[in-house]
Amino acid sequence: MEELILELKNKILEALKLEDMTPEDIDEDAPLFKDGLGLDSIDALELMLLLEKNYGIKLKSPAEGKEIFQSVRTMAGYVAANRVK
Amino acid sequence: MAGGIVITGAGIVSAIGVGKDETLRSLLARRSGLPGGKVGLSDLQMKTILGIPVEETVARSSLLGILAVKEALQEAGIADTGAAALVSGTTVGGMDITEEHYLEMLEGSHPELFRLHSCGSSTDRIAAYFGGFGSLTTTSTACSSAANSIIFGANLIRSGRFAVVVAGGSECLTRYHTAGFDSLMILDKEPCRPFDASRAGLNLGEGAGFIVLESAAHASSRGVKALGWLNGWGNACDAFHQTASSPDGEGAFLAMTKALGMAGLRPEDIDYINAHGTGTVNNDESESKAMTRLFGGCVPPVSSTKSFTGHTTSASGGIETVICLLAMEYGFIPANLGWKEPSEGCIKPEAESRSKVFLQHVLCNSFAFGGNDSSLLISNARDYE
Amino acid sequence: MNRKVYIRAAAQISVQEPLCEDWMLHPRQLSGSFLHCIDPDYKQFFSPMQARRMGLMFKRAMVTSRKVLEASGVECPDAIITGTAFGCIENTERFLDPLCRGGEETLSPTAFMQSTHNTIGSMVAITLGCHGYNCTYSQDGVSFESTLLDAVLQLECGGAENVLAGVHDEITDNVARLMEANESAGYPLSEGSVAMLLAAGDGVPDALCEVSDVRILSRPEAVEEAVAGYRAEYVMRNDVTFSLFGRCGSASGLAVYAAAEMIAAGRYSSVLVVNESGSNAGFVFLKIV
Repeated sequence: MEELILELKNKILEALKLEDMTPEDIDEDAPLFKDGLGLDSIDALELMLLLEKNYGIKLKSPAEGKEIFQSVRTMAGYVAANRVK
Repeated sequence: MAGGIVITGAGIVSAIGVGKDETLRSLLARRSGLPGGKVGLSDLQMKTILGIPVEETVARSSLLGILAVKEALQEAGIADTGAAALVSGTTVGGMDITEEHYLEMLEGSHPELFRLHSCGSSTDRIAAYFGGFGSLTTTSTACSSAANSIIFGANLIRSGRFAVVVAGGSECLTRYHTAGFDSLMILDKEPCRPFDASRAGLNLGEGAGFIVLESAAHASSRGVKALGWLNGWGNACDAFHQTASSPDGEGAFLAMTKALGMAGLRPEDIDYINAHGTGTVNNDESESKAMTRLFGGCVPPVSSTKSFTGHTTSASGGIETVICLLAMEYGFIPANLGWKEPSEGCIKPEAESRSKVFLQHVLCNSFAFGGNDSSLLISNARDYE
Repeated sequence: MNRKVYIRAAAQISVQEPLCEDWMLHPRQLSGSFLHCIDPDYKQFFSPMQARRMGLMFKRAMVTSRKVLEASGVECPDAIITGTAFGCIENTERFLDPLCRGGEETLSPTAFMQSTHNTIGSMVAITLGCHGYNCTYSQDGVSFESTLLDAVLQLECGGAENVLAGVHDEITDNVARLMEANESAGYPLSEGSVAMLLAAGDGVPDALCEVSDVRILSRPEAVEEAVAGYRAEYVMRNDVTFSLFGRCGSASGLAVYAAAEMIAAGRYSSVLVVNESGSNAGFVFLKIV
């Protein structure tokens, strides 16, 4: 799981173009949206793309993503349980 | 402004018709151009109608624009555009050509097609068809481009720089922006249902809408009749988010308020609002909030004609202005098709068309990504002091 | 009688030394087929979270805009007007390339959102929290003149006291190759950003210069007559502009910036910047305050 969390952090940094940030800058239990990293609705769409491209998981709408994208850890848990790739 | 600004010509092409007459018939018959939103003419057909050599590559947005400008100029009785200004709005420009030939252009073949890519080049081509204009430019504020063209044109007249300005917008469907809106997950595969509880997104459409603006004094000296008055306008920025409208509809509220203020009118003077009403969950709620902030409990009749034409993006302000002119001339309120169930936080639009109504003052809204919000206030040519 | 309009401050990031005027004593000689801007270190201006969606062009727009606002002591302008000849090419390519290669399923919404021409102007407004008038013009080489003309209109009769006007363009390898294939060289293709703070009034003492006239003339046969009509002390044409800044959509904006600085430094009492761009010609006539 720790490996997947690190992998996800790197992919998030890449997908959201967070150059000059490292995985150490992201707390896997901190909220991704609103507080914490402060991502927005467009970032949510990018995260959905990330899941599809890398793990074959296709979410139907941003609403579905709300629970999953609460933190990097919740994302990792969902990926581990549902990945197709 | 002493004398005011009048509209002396109007041209329109969209999925519900080529020209004002066909558009009017579609509106009255509740005949929608959705799904699809496509103008019922191929590029080849448009070139043939316009007498443009078929072997010339022309951006589809230019062809649509030429058709609409031609109709507007004919109505205004203007044959020589040498002293007039042209202000067109587009975002795709020649992207229909670029996306088709991009890979081969990168390989080195047909690089000349890239000359047709830019927004500006599509306006140049429209102007060239009419033998050139005295001056021209292109606005590019996405879905409020045409409305902003009209505002800029009005200011050119108000400042005394031009007596006649042709203003509006033109946009063709492209794979690029269809895929773009799809990636934002705001397209609905079903016909859109603006302000409805079940609304699930917008339908894209294409077309062009242009009007001829003149100072009232100039129109009078030419002995030409006014279709309507451009009585006020407002442009404000929501300054909230690149793709979402603010929950309190601040930009929309400010734009409509400015338009009213410029016209010296009160909210209760407005007889109809042609809403931006895209059918997305976000826009319709935000726009409704702006309307209730401005009009309180007395929101005038509202409809979104995007339920007929689809969302014609950069052309929408021009197309919808022409629809407002038709509504005022023929005394009807176009229906807001697809509306069945009220949505919490949204106004209730006119689901049925209403006829035999006298519309004296009308607001036409165009709100864009990035919060570029514009509102035009058009007044009836009849009985207006 | 229309109110007088002034340029209070101007800032650029271009192929010359950025955000200063020192380069004017010894301008860099340009060579090669295309050149990128000399960029400052943007880390001093933006945190990683702020910078994440900003390609280089957005960063240039934000930095030049902030500079002129600070120099003028204006926190939030009454209007923000932006010009761009080609828009956000980098993001356009980022979306267009995979689209054309058949990957409609995994296209980036951020790239699409950031590729529309009005993204620059709206991003500046969002950052400043500015609800004022906001518009974007895209008319190839006269995008700046269109922007400046609207700024003048807003100041003359639109109720604005100050306007943030800017023109921004970028170039990529692909676009450079396509443009080169279409036009003969002579001057390198380039990119550039310039922001200006314009104000109106009876007299703006700290202004660089007055903007006496701006127009776009779409009648090529009438250009020379128009030039003569201004009776400017110095006429700056594209050969000078391109030799300083290269060929880019923002070139005339950069030329007006340079002309404004020259007037402020007492070099000339009036300068006419003439920009012939295809079938359109831009004229910006500046005078000493």
